[in-house]
Amino acid sequence: MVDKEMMKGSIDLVLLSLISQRDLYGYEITRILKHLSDDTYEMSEGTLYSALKRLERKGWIESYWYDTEIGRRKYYRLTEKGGEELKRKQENWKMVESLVQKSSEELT
Amino acid sequence: MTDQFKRVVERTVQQIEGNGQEKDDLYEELMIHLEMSKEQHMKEGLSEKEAEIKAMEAFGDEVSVGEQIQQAMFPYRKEMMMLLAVGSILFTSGVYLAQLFVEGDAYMLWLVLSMSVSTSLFIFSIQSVAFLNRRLWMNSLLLIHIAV
Repeated sequence: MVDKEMMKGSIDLVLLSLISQRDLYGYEITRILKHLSDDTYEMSEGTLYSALKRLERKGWIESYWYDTEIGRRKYYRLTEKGGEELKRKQENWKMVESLVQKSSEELT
Repeated sequence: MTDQFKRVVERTVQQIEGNGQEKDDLYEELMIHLEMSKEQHMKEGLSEKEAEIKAMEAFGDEVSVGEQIQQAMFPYRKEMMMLLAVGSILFTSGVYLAQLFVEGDAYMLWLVLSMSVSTSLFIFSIQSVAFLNRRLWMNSLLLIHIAV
């Protein structure tokens, strides 16, 4: 199971990364995350939509309604500002990852 | 049975202080989510009824979902209102005491009035949005507050 507490700090990065690849709607995001985590992580609606609203308020993503054959969907797309933020977060993540890695290696 | 979805989503959206457009958008968005979740469960072999229950279970407590979204859309609103109410209570007490000591006389009626307004402001600020149409009451209280 994915540790929800650990996931909390990375939700923005995960959502921005996904949306940067293509425009997505809410339900689709939960499906992708479930699939990518081999069914070990299911993002709750409260977590998902509050995160999306927060990212939208910060101007990192924007939403639009789009009619598909199976009905209307509210899609989210990355803004330019969101792209910059994503880059910043990715660099930050790499630093954390490297620190975790180095911490588990032998101390000399 | 979709009535149950409607009820859940309505309760969720009630926790939001946004304008009509924002609420309608969120309502539709969450309804679509529940419907798609239900369809997926049916594809996986559940009956319609089971699928609906599963979808609602995954959704969780609608009030807490709504509160999370409200906090994301309007952060610090609750904290600000509480701060204002507490500040107002302190201010009222301060003014009353100052009047009492400096002038030896104070307006009892004003104290009672101002205190009750501040206290109601405080009570409303810690309640959820849905409680007695908080937004309306909050706004009227704020107006009365300024007047007092």
